[in-house]
Order: sequence, then C-alpha cells, then structure tokens
Amino acid sequence: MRFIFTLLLSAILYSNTFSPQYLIWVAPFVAFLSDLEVGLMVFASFLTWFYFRNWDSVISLEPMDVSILILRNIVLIVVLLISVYKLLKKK
Amino acid sequence: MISEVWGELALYQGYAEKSGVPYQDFNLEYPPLALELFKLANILGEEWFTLMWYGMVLIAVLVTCLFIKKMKGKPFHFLAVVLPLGGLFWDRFDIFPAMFSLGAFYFAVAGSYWALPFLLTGVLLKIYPIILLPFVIGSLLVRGKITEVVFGLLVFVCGFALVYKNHPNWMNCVFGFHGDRGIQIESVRAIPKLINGGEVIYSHNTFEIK
Repeated sequence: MRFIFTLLLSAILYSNTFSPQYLIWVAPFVAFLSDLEVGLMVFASFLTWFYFRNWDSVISLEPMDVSILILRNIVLIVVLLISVYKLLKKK
Repeated sequence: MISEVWGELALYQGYAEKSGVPYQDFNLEYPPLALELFKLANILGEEWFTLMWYGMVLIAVLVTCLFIKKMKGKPFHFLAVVLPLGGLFWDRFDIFPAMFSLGAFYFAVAGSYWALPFLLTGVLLKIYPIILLPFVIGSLLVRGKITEVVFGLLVFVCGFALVYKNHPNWMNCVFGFHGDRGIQIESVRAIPKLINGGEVIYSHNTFEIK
C-alpha cells in the first residue's frame, strides 16, 4: 500500500494540474503509513482548506496566502521523500 | 439550505439534467460513469440532490473505512486526512474513484475476481486509477491467480469497449480537455512562477499561471 501511495502522490506532484480534491486520491492509502507521514498529510489537508478559504487572495498572488499554498506543496514533497526513503529502506 | 445546489454540486446537477448525448451534444470533462453518478444523485430531483449526494459520499466513506479495516489499516488516519478538507471533500466525487481503487487492491490481495472490475469502475469515474492497472494485475499474478487476471482483463476490455461503443467521442473529449490544460496555480510546477510573480489566468474551469 505504501508503494501505491507513493506512486499516486508522485503522479499528482509531477502533474501540471493539482486540484485540492486530488488529496482524496491518496487518502485511503494514508491509512497504511507511519504516524509521522499521517501527521504531515493531515497538516497538508488543513493548509489546503486554509488557502482555499482565502482563494481570492491566492489568485491575486497575496504573499501570505501564496506562502500557505507553497508550504502545502513543500509538506507533500517531504511526505513523498519520507515514503520513498521507507520504501527503499524496506528493500 | 440543504435543498439548494450550489458550487461544484450545481455543476454536477446541471450535467445530470442536461438533455442529449454526452460528448456529442454537450461537453463533459469527466468519464461516462461520472455522469451516471450525478444522475443517481438527481433521481429524486433537484431539491433532493444535495442530500442524496451527501448520503452517497457518506456511504463511500463507510465502505472505504471497511476496506481499510479489513486490510489492517487505520480508518481514523484516512478520516483525519479527508475531513479537514470540508466542502472540498463533500462536494466533489473523488471519494468514489478512490474507494474503487482501494477496493481493487483489497480484492487483488484476497485473490478475487472483483479486483479488475472494481478498478475499471474507478477508471470510468475518473481516469487516474488506470495507472494502478499493472499493479493490480501484478498483485493477482504473484498470488498465482491467472484465471482471475484473464477474467478481469476480459471484463476490463469488454467494459471499455461497451462504453466506447455508446460514447465513441468520450476519450477525445476528456483527454482534449485535460491534455490542453496549462500549469495550475496549485501545482508544484507553479511554485517558481508563484515566487517570481507570474500572470494568473482563468482557463479550463480553474486558475492557471503563466
């Protein structure tokens, strides 16, 4: 299940589209990850909700709200790296 | 008002009420089964659409939790990720392909005939589960389930052929729409442009950055 999570998250992060609901694609597979990864994914969900709440500011490129969006993406990249590391370690 | 359809649900309800042949008389950016999902939620009419939709999403959540539990995962972790999304979770249909994707693996691990039909349902709802196809087949093969793979692939091909026969234009429509999209403001690829201050434009029902 970790491999599937990693595959889906890589596809989402590599794509040039990333609608907020794409997080739902990987959510069922989060149930098989470590607490640290789950915690980071929950944090990413909260950040998603937060920047989407201020959507008008995001599309106006207000630095504060754009920073939250960028932080969300960085958190997801970190989760991906942790997951890849754990996959390789398992091998 | 729970009876009022708005936002993304208004879009879905609008599709459900459209007359004519999808991909021919009107454009639809989703695969054909998604339209059936919208029609199912609209079965009692517009004023019940929202309630029906939330009921369907709730059922999908419960089934997903059941799959997770059966696979010895932690359903609470799944809920902890999706619930903070609020309306982004409840007002979208992504939980359905996600449920079918997980279900495909549940049945693959159990060596069941249902694995590939489940994945096909997910693909006909939202395309992306297609990337899981080799891994569902692989999961069945490592368990020596050759018959299940052959049966599943037969269902997969026949299912696709049937849908293609009814909607010959659906792939052109869906891939034409999604293949033509630029860099969405929320994607990782947009980060450098967000930092350097790009130009935001509205395109393909979303915001892109140039």
